Amino acid sequence: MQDLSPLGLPSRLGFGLGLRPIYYPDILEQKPRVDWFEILSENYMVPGGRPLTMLDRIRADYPIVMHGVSMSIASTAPLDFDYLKGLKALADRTQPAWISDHLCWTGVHGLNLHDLLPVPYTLEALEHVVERISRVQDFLGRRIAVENVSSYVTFAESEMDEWTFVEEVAERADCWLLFDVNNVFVSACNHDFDPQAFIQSIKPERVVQLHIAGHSDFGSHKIDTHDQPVCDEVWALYAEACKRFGSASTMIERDDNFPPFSELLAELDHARAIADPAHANVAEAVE
Amino acid sequence: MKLAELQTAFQGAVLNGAQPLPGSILPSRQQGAEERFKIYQDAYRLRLTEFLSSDYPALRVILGDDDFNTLAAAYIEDTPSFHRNARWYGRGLPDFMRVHEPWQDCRAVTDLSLFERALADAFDAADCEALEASALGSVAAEDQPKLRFSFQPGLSVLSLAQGTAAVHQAVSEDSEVPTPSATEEETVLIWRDCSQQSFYRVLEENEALALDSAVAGGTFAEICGLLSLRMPEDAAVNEAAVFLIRWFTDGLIAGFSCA
Repeated sequence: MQDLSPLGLPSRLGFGLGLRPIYYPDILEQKPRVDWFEILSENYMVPGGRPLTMLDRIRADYPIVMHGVSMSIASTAPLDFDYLKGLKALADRTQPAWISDHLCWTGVHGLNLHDLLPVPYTLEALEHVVERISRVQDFLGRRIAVENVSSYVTFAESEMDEWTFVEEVAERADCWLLFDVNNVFVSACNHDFDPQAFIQSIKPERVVQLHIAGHSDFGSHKIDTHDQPVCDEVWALYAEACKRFGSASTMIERDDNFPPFSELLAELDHARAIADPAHANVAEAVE
Repeated sequence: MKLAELQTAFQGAVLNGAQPLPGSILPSRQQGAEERFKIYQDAYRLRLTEFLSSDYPALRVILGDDDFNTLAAAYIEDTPSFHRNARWYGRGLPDFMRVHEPWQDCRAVTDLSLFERALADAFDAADCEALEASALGSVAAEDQPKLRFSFQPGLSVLSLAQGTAAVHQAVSEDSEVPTPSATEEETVLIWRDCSQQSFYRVLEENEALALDSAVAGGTFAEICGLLSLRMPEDAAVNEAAVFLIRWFTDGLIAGFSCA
């Protein structure tokens, strides 16, 4: 097991992008100024072939972070140790800076809905999730990061705010957080809460990574679609997140309606421009 | 409601719109509880349809968006996912089409789905070094008839409606799509070589016979025996040797034994 002291955050990686097959040629030919790449773990949990070959080639030049969508950490179904073995094997091969997944469930009774399903913020759910994260961390022999998801429903059962739930999970399970700025923005709109309250409730020493992304606005609600550029409101919230979580690595998610790679690089430069003054502020505060 | 009960009710209502949604879902200022929950019901179907579109792009073109979406909807209602990895969800589509109307009566589209599934399987099959023909140099002449071969994990040999491979090629090239034969068949070889590229070619009858036998574990002598039913024995041995050299050249062969 890694050092799980509160100061055990990995080194800051800088500004990263999602590794998506459509961009393999751009990455291999241009060696772009991207500090690291985040992979969707499941896309590389395959027997062999081009996905793993491309990953090995890109890993030779860039740090990698593994980000999963199927751990189903909040499910009441038993933990899937076959899945976890596959995850561990990929981690052994890839040597990621860290491994993350979502604070959600994806199915019960053996099924997978391939969605990041919402959790009621109850003590029962909290204890359940904490126990499972601890078991996963023991199995993987490393601390993991869990990400707050976008949600579209509210449960009457909830006994606390989402941010209280997330913070409590991190503290009790002694895990890291992947703080998704866009998800906070989307959920704040859908559930009518103040995103600042979320940001201010999370302890910076738990936050290993930030996600930013685009979403779709349907008027009555917003959906986390990752198919649009990052909007101004999310950039503004990202600036606030940087002030609080200054040392966290940042990554832009884009999973559909893919633009030319140069547009993602420009978005990443925008993130750098926002974050750097914030980092300077943090440094000044520390001094 | 306990967490386990809530998750069971939530999942049931996503999978089956006729089931009541969990009563504990609250409305927002702008949406009722049912409207909010429908986001998850719709997302489930949209996401699985995307998986199928990704695995069967030519089938989508041939059927057209409306008919493909009808097929996807039928498959999704019939087949929940038991897979952590979306990659495997669509593997059952060809088998579903073969036993469900109206697709079971349309071999051209069912076979196209088989073809695309084999391409996907070749794409990320386990890695395996391809053997070079020179490796046979160590085999004594008297042992050669006993040679058996093992093949790359991603290799498939499919009997399809004649013209299926041409349909796929036409869709890939955005050219005029031919009509597959309703009665005649072709044998298509699909594989991935050491350059990580997936390939396919339509086999002529003798090579199809020989490769079928070799993949099933037949010895070199048995392959020659099969071919000799169609030509003189000397010619059969020569033909089998030519096929063997090509299989090595194409990177199909992973190993051999003389037991």
